[in-house]
Amino acid sequence: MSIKTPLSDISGKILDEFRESLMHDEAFTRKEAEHLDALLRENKPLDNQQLDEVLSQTMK
Amino acid sequence: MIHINRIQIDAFRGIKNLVLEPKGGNFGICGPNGSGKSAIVDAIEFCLTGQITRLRGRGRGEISVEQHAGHIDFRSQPERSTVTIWANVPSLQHDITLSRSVARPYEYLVSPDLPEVHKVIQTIESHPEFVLARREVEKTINAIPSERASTVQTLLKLQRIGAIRAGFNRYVNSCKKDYSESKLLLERAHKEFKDVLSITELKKVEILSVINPLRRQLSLPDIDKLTNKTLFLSDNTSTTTVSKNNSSGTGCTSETISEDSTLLIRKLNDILDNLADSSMSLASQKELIINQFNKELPSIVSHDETVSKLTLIQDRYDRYIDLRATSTAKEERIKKAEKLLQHFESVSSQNLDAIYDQVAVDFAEYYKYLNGDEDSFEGNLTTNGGRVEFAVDFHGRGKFPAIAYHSEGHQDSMGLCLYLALTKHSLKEDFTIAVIDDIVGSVDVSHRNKLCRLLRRKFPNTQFILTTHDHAWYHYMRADGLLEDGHVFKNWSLEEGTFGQRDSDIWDAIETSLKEDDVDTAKTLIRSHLAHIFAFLSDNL
Repeated sequence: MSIKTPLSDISGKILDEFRESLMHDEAFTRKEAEHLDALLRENKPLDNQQLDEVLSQTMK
Repeated sequence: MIHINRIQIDAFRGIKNLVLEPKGGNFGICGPNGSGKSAIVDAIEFCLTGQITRLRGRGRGEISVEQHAGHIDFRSQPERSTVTIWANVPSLQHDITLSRSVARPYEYLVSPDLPEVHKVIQTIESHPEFVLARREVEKTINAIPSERASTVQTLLKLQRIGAIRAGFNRYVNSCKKDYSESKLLLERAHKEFKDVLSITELKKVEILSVINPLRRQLSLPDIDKLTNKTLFLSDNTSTTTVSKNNSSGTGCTSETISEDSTLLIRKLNDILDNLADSSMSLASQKELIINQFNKELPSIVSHDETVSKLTLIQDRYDRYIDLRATSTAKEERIKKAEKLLQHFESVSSQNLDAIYDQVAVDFAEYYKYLNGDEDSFEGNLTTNGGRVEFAVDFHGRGKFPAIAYHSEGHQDSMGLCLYLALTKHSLKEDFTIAVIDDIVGSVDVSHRNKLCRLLRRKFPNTQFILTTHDHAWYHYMRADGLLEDGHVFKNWSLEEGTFGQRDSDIWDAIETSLKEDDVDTAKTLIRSHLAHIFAFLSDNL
């Protein structure tokens, strides 16, 4: 059986607040905040190219 | 989590066969260095998580559980190297049996095979912090702040937060590097554009003062503004573009060829008209025509040069405009990446500082419990970017890193207190077991009763399995009642493994010695036991 580390309660709370914080900043669109949130919860290493793709969203 | 009732170890590390029976209570393991204490700690960790922390980490790349956890004489039969634990799960009110083999460390067998039992095992697997060794204390107390952050984050299951922060940091750095490269290209393009215009500053007026005279030579109207789409060889109002007369490449339209032909025909007509009424000889007329063409030809050549010049200017202008746009976009990307990191740091610091504040309160409470002479003692854990700063009070003179002024004994007890505070915060009611390997040996006699009381009173639902090489300390914990049972090792050999026995009741052992007519052993046992009893009674006066 493989070892899987679930996102702890504290980590989940920090990510929730981070998403809200981005949504209240005009520099980021709602779509960017939501896509980034989904990316961060994937529990995979963060990739610069993925971040580039997410941050090129334009719809608010 | 669980309380351990029984452990069976076979062909594991330095142990051939061993059965221990903690029976769900606090259990002590005492023995000299190299007698197998740490092997028991490894066995418990292995059975519960499939890992052995001691075999991982820096400089241990070639060491693995599969290759090195089994007894050295059973390396070719890893399936014989097994650990089995019989335990109780308080949250389920269930007794379980869990076993693992070195041959397949990431697989376990558990009985009863129920989903809720598997969930408990997975929780344990993801919380290897129930094992604490001296090296872990060093990681929290003596480590540099960035390494301490990693240890603390692991204890609190915050690795993902640390990983995200590191990922954002990498992204910011990558954006900066990208921007810096594009800025260099832009500077070069800026210089090349200035050079082709032979001007010192790229101001609109100066640029147009070069462009417009060239355009006039091509009978194109002046330009009064520059945009990203400005074409220097066009009137910028239609699709008509001026090209070289002899150009056969792109940009040479049928309209331009037609215009140039008309110009040549008109010139020829003008010359022939002038000659029509002339009485000049044919030779003179020929000479006149040649002279006239020689006079007109420079203007045709000049037309080509102007087109070439404006084409080059256009190329450099387009490159400069492109690179300027790219560079601006990359600069904006840095700002966005930095904002991302700022938001994340702000949110995570607020949350982590709140947690660390709570941990620091518990830490200080435990430490004061151990060191009643430092009533004003306080400790601070604070985040600073990816670092966790740890500062403790030193006799009211201010807060300093723990290693600055405190003795090693105090640092050890700080490590234990910080571990207990962090693990309590992380596991909460699941903090039912802690395996502590030789960490309390450095606690001096005057603090021993306080440590026993701290563990008994503050963690009544936690089963402590404690190892020590210090017999006096072991017997103290037994006399205090902290340890309900124990196992004392006397020696170890490669062939036979550990030599030791369950720590039976001392009076039984004395009686057995007397029955065997071994008075000397009986005398030693009485003397040693009474010494521990009186030390304990004195400490608790």
